Amino acid sequence: MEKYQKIEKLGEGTYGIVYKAQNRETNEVVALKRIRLDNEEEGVPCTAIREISLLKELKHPNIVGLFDVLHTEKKLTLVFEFMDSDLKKFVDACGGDLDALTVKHLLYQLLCGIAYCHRNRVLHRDLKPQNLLINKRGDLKLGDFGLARAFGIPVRSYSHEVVTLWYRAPDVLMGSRQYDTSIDLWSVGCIFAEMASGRPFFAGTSIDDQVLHIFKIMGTPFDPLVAMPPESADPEYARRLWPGCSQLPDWKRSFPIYPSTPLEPLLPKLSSEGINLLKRLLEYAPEKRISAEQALLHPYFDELRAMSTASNGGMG
Amino acid sequence: MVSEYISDIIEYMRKLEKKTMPDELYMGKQTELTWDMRRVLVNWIVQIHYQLRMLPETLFLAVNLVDRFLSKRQVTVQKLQLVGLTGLLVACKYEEMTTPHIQDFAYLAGNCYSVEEIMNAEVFMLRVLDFDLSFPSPLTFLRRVSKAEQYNMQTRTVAKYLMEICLVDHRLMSFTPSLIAAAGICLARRMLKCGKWDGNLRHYSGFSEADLQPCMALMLDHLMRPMDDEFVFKKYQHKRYLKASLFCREWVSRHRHEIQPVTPPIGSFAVSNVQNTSNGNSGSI
Repeated sequence: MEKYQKIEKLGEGTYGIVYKAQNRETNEVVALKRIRLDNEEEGVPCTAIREISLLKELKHPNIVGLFDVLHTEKKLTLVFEFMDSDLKKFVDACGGDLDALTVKHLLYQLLCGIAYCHRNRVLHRDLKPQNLLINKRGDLKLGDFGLARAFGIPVRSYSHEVVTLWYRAPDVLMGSRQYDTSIDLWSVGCIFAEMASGRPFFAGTSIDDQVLHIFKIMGTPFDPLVAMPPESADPEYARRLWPGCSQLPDWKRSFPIYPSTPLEPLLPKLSSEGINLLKRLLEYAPEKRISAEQALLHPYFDELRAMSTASNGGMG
Repeated sequence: MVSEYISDIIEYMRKLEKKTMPDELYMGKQTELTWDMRRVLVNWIVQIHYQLRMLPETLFLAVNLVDRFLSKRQVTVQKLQLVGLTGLLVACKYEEMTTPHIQDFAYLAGNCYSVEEIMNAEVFMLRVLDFDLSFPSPLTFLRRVSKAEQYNMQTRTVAKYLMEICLVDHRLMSFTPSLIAAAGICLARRMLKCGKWDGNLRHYSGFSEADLQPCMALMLDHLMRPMDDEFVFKKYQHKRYLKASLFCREWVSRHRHEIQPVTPPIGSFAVSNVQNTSNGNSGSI
């Protein structure tokens, strides 16, 4: 611990206190996450085991760097790359009013980080603005891998107690345990809309309420294998078709039927391409939901590609 | 969808499996331990794992952690079971949705070790292994190969049995998880008369039949031994596992005359021969 001089307390993480600190030799500023082991009856928390093991593997500009793990009497200290802020604080600091290009830059970096995780068989499972770290240069990095896990192929069933309510995919909300990489992309969609509007897009207070929040905006989905289409005047009719949704454990026949709400007036900051990408991220049927890899190729990002060609620099 | 990433993921896992191999000759560096003690330990881990109804991935990871730890640190006979227990605890925390209390783990080991000892051992093991738990289990590769034969239940179950044999028999430690999975399916197909190892199976497994021959020979060699005290054998007698172990034993006894013995000879498993086997374990036909 002597190697680092503590500067200030930054907050409480999933399993311990986080400090800002400085390396006495190199002057490098880092974040220290401390895990106490002496008042633990169960040893090293499994969230810490997964986070350390996964972050040691994942090395990418859009994933927070884990530099070192120190072990001293009765505690483990994780030494992370220091990041100034997180997306939640950043959006709040801007009064909820990010400019359209910043939103695009941040979303692109988020998707780069997620695509890298998925290629390396890791699901993050807890994407939310508080877990997306931002530094002064405008770099965005995924942090907090305490709920992340490596998956097999095909992905086997995991617990459905994942992802903070507001960012949880509808299939998971309705009890599906066979989820895969698509759950992270739903969260990305929610975060995208939140960046564009300045507030959480689907802010439910319970699982049932969360489902209704989603239905009110995206329209109630229906299972073409069971029910006849309720009304076909809805322009989002095709997106509301979700084969098999009525078979999900917590699907209710009594769900109220809402038509879809047009997204453009809700998100005036987004271009039509932005709206289109958002709809592809917020697809009900997990198998229809766009992947991170495909999303990066979406025309919404053409502007960034044009800019990077013009300046000859890299993207993100 | 995951399918889009499958080839990236498989390629990545082929890298990981090489990085997380134990040293197959580690017993030469241990002063108090023998391969037979390891066999007894793994047999115990398989049993505890079964009693606690854990995921199959957890078992493979636990044994990998134990072997990698023993590749790096000398351990006394008294502490060997603690290493096994700790391997299972760590694997459990990584793979399972819920982990039993350390107190329960201590009980399962006959309370030979205190909760505090287990907690210290946990941190120690994680540090020795540098927190690298990225070992890809052969099951992941098995699912991939199984796709090439439309997820045939029978071959898959027999293959799983053959893969678990590889945990118990240290001579199979030198084979990578992807090869073990492919050899399991290949041998299962031979026993069940499912046809040739065709281009499709070669493609999905990444191995030709010739690549798999040394591993399959050792699997067969293992099956020719008396296995009544082996828990994997008992476990796979169950209907849930389609009585795979009984099927294999019967198949082997019918084909005994066709199976080539592997060197070192069958006696190598006996305690008296343990020292000899530590350097002759990657046998071939």
